Amino acid sequence: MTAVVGADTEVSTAEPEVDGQPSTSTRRERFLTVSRFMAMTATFTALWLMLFSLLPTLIGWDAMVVSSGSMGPVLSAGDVIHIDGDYPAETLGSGSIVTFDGPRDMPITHRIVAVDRTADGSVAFQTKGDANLVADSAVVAAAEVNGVARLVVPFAGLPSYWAGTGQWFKLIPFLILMFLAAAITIDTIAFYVAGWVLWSGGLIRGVAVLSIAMALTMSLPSTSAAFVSTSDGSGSFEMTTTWLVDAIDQDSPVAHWRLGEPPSGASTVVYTDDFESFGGYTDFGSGTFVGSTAQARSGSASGLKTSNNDPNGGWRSLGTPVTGSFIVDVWVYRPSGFGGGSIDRLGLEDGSFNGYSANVDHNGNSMRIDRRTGGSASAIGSSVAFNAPEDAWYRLELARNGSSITLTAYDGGGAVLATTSAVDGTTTSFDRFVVRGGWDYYIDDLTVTQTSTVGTAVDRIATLDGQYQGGVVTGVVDVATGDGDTAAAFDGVDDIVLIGDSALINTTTRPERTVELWFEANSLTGRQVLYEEGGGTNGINIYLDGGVLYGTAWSNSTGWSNSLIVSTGVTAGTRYHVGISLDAVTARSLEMYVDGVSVGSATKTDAAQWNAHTDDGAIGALNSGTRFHDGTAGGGGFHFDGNIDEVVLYNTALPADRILNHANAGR
Amino acid sequence: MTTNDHDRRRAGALILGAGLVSALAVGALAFTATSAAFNDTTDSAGNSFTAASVELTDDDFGGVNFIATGMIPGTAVTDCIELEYLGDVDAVEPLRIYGAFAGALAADLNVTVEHGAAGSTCVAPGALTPVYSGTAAALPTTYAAAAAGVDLDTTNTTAAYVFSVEIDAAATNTAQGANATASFTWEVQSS
Repeated sequence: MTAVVGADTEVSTAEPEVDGQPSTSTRRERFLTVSRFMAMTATFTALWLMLFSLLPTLIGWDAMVVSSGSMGPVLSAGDVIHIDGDYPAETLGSGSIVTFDGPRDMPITHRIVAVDRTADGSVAFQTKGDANLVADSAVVAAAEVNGVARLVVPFAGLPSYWAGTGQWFKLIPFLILMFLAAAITIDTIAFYVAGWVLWSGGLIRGVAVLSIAMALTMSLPSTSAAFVSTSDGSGSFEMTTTWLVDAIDQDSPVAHWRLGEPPSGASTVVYTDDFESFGGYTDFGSGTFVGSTAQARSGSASGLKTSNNDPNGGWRSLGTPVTGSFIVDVWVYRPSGFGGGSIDRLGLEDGSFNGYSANVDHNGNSMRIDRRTGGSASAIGSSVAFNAPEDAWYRLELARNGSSITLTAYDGGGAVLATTSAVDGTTTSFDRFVVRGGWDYYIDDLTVTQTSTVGTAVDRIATLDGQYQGGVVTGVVDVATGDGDTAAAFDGVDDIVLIGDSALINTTTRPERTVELWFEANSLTGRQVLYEEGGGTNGINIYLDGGVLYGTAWSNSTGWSNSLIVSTGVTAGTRYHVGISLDAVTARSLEMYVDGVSVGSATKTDAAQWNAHTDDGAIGALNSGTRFHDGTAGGGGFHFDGNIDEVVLYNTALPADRILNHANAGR
Repeated sequence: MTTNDHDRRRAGALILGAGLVSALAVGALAFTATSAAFNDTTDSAGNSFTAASVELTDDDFGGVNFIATGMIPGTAVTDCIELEYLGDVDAVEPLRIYGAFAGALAADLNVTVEHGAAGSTCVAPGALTPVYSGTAAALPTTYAAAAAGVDLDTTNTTAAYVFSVEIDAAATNTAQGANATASFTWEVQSS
């Protein structure tokens, strides 16, 4: 530098041109003059930019260096913008460029593209970088706006930007050139003003002046005109409507008896009578049953029971005997004013007058079911209050399903007036319809239907169908909810679902087994089997004994030292999910869960398998032979009184979370 | 005139000239920029600006990421979506994802979001790093609240994002048949 200045002053005496061409010294002087001009222009430009950058801060504006280009082309990285924090809020609107604190606590300068004014008067802005394809994801509340952009000074913040982004390869050469230019400028000014030739002092002063100005601009904070881009996605989720079944299927069951089938097997109408053409009835005792046109529910005639009280009456053959389950459907008309023997009694009986009949008492205003033994009546089940219609037709339905008997009275519109039930398995075959009771009452439109006692308990997994016996009532109750179907009611007397032997279930030696079912007990009296398979030597079962629920597994033929027995207390009238999970080889334990929660486990020390076990299985009672907590039991029996639903078998030991999942699904 | 006087006059002319030229240049720059910046109320929409950009895309072409029907509690449904950074600004913040669930089933949903390393794809997601694991209700709904995910600093870098959504195992069957919808946003910002 000093050499340049010195040379410049030394060569300032112009040398003559030679042959119209500038002499070497003249060319050199012109070059130096142009260089000096350029250096001073650069220096003054830098100073002007700094002046523009710094002076507005005197009136309270905040200068900031733009650190990215998402507001391009309006703002570029390296520009200095001035933010006016003292702005009239109502002037902000679409198009305003504002600075606010971004999500990463860095000031962001973007343009307002939408204004959201809420009813409560608050204002929020949707902002966006001009160069961004998408608006900023977060809205900016009016209070979060730090200021509105007032002035942009291009390039003034470039040194700061380069320093902030580590672009030293730009910053350092720039600073060297600027310091040289500043030195030349100072020298020239000093020479002009005072005729001084400052030599190296010019460089020092130039560096000092420029450094101060540079430092001031370098100290400006930066604001990001952040680039933003987003990509959207979406999802749609729907839970199954048959969660229980789907959840069970997740765990690969080997058998699943839903016990939700409607009563299966054929129903056959055995006898109908509209009494338009009366005949076929035989009076017995001193009873009289005759045709009459005094009353008629349909047509012009009906049957009239008159003269003498129960057990006198009339009967007629059904033609085809009814066995097990039946429905008697008949319309009855009781005239008022017949006080004596005012009880309507009718039903099905066998050749010895054993059977069942309805008992509607117009004096006592009650209704019940009678068992007939040699024609004599004895009450079974409970008597319910029933103020039977008089001088009007009402309908009685006496239905037997296995040993479950129900009597229901309906009005002419089909509404239930009263219902009662009883359990009795004394008589199972019936060949006659019998009308007894006090005088006088009329009956009309009689239908007797043979229904099915034996049905199929469908296994929805492997077609290991079970067989309903004893009159299990299906389709009338529910225990597990959310399964989309109903459950089965067991009468505690003779109802059972029989399950045959299968290599898929019990005639193969296995290490693991899980049994799950839902139940609700009507009574906790005595010992009641919910599920069993196998016999006294090898097997598994779930049963109630008093108020205690047991789950046990045993395999004496493999040398298990003892049965694995787990128990817990339960109450009647409560719906439960019970699961027992046997892992004979690895965990060597049987764990029982009630409503998805473990109630205990039993362990064994040996690693013996769970041996194959024939002897059939059953739901709701013992089929033949099992082992209880207190020893073996042969034969059948131990009928369950209550409802059972969704019996599932797995040939794996299900973990706790899966059993909980199933319990949740059915609750 | 002495040589010195001549040189001093020339120096003065140079100073004056340089001062005027630089003042004009700076003035023109500043006024041009202010005019453009503050009088333009139309949105330049970004498309015309090509100097630099941040751009993100995914492989579902704007469609639904996944539809799950027949869900049951305790069993997760998963799906992978591949994000690709198309911008040419190298210094970008790590990708963040946020979103919101709606619908009756939302209260019973658990969500896990994981991502592969930069360069991962749905075919080869590699080791996954979780960015969110919790209830659907607590999923961050804003960029500021979301956790930083994978860093995609170079254009054409991909990353696999794996979603796992399950109905809570403790859900009861009141949720049966219920449904929920979700919307997610991945966002990348320049540093």
